[in-house]
Amino acid sequence: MDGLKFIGKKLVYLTVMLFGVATLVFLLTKMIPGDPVVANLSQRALNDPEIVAAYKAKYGLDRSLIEQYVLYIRNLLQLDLGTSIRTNKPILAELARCYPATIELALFAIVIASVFGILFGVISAIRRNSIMDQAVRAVSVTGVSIPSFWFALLMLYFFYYKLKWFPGPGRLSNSFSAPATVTGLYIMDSLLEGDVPKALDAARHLILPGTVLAAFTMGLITRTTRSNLLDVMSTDYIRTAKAKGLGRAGLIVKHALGNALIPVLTVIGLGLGNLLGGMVLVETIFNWPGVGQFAYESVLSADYPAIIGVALLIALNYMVINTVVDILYGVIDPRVRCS
Amino acid sequence: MKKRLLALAMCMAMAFTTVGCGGGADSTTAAGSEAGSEAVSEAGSEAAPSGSSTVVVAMGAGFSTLDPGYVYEKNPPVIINACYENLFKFYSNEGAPEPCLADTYEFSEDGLTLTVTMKDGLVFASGNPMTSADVAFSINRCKNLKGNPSFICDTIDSIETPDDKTVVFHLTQPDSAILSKLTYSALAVLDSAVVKENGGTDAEDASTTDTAQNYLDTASAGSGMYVMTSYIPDQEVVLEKNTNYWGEATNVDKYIIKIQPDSNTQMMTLSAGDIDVAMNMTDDTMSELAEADNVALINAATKTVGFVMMNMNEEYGGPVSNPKVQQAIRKALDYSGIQMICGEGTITPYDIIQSGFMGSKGERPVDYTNVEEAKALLAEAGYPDGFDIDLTVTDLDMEGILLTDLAQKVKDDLSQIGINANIVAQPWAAGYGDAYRDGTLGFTVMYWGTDYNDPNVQLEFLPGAVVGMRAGWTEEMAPELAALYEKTLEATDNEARTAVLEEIQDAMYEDGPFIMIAQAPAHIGYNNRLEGVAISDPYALDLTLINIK
Repeated sequence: MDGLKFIGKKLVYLTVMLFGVATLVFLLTKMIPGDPVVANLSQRALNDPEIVAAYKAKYGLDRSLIEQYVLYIRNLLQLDLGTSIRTNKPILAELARCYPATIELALFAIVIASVFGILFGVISAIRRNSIMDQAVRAVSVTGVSIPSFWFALLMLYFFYYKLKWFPGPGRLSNSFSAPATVTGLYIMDSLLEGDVPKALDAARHLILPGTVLAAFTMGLITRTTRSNLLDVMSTDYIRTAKAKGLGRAGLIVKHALGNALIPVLTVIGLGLGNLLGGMVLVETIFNWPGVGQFAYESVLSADYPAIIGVALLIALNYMVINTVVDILYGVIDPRVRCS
Repeated sequence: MKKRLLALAMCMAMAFTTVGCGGGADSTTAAGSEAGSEAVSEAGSEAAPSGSSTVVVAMGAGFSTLDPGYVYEKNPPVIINACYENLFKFYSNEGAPEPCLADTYEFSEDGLTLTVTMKDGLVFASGNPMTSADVAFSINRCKNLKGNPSFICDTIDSIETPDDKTVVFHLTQPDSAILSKLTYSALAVLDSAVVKENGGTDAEDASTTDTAQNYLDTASAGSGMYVMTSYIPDQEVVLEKNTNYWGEATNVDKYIIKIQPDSNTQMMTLSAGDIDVAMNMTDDTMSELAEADNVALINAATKTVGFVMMNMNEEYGGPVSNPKVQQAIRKALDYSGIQMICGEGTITPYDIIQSGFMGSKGERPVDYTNVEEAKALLAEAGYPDGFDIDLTVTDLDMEGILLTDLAQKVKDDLSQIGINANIVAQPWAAGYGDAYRDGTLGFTVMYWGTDYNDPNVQLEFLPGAVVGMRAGWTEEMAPELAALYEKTLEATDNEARTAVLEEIQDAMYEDGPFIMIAQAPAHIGYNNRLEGVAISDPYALDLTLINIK
């Protein structure tokens, strides 16, 4: 019963938040300077009032702001995000096309970031002030501070261009055609087709962009894990456990790590939300057709419906992730569930 | 514990590297099973095109449809020209339009009627025979869609199709550029039966009733050498041989066109052998490939031209509206320096007609710049100590060259004669575009891409014409020069047209509100297993001329 109440509360919260985001982004996109007609019509076409009028009528730009808003919200309630001014296709279909590419990359990146981040954080904490600790801290600071576009170019230059260890940009090698879309995740769809080499090729293409995207979040996770583990290790109950003769491995894994991971979970959640929003520069350099590239092209074209659609998607990402993180808090620490 | 943790970390790192490096064998297997004829490169690299009858081309992004009725941007003609055909075509970048689907053509004496007879035996990829009705449908559809390229039909009043092979164009006025316009991608001939089946219409209300764009974004409906078999927006386009092609085809069986917006990425993938042609290289990335054995490079001027505009209306232009100041600025600019900034292949046109067009007087002499003369002209204009002025510039680039970089160079050059230009940046879609169109910009650096491949495009720079008015240059200010607009349109004979175009260039060489500063270069790198790769202004790259050696 409590679970249902919790889910119900979250759903109401989600709906209100999405409505708020839609309204806010709609108003903001209309307030910022930028005219989709000027952005999308050629200089020649702009000189022809008939073409300009036809264009405005086609995308409802000739209506008043209030009319546009009412129409937008009415369509939104029917899960219709409108039509892209740039591509002339439904926004929902465009997001369905781009989002799986971003999900696949983001999930890969967050797994890399979480596994290595926690591992390095633990190593760094248990070997505090050693050379290894210093090295891990240097790596994590570098990961957090290195500009992703520059790191992306470096990775591509050395590991693809010079050393030829990893494949280049794109989601698949030229010798493969895209798998039939079921989930939109190439690894999964290739496996569903029974084509293991294609799935492996898709996995290999994830490594360089995934590593670049993982660097920042991994740095944060390493630092958070380290500092929280150090805090927990200095608490009374750990001291008591040590005094009782508990081994170091058991102490860390069974008693310390669980408590230290709660803030780490928050960082992972935020990191995933950030990655799912699409990373424009990395997607551009690695020729990754995800949400970031779509958002970038939409902004350049002042494509309001697409911009609002991407904003709603990002908001939805964060809300869903936060809800999952809230649930996981309860799994890791039963006190959270009780409260 | 620490040993276990370290061991775990090592195992994970090894697994990570194994997946990454183990691709060589995997891709070989895959290539064998999946693509058959396609060769495979060394470990870690993607399937190499070498030895294959498939050619992989990388091109920039920035387009959203492959429906010929809507295409306007620079890159889609690469695909449209391969999958569709027009009545006329440019078979080389420097030449005049030549018949493609057309067999013969004839202008009426008053220049108001063009009669085109089509070749025999023309068929679409679908197997449907092509008739004059398909031509009329395609052109009327483009006109009535009221999209970006609809302007190309402005001088076409109506089209008659007296029989299956004859198309009669009735023009609103004599138009010496009509053959060039008929080469334009938006006027490609569509298989009207297929397009109508998929929601297409050429009716007057096509802008609201035509729904064929979705279909034409997934498949082609033309008679070209290739058919489009796949289009994943922002990712790739696949073209395969048209088995019903009526003409003589090249030996390339398949094109995979990768959308790669970043020039560094194009450089690396070309060098690694993963692509055959990199269309959007820059001067910097070209120099990286100078030593590569398997790569050939092309640096050549396009017809996209950068220019300085000085408003003739004193209210907006202030001191730069003064003809003497305009002459001084023209003399002060360092054209060689501008060419260096734009990169290898850049040239400075003699005046408004770009080098390479019929009637062009070539390039501006290299010794034209003369700072002392410029200072004297400025003093003559009443500004012996120069003046301060805003130089507005927008966030666009000309073939990859930022307009802000050009503005900075103009500012530096003008400082030599005492003009202090204050650069004001303004986004295109947030003010600059409107101001430019409304003619309220006083002093700016801008560029002009040719809408269609014909010198008449440049007539818009004349007084009273579209761009002329943006500089506040009205017909009344130079009626004799303005009259040359109509005179050029009426000159359907090439010799007569060349004479008028030369007259225009001479009149504007030292006068007027426009200074043409550079024809931007295009940089293409390609695998030297190919031949026939060349820069093309109308099609960006003509895939139908490329062969594998």
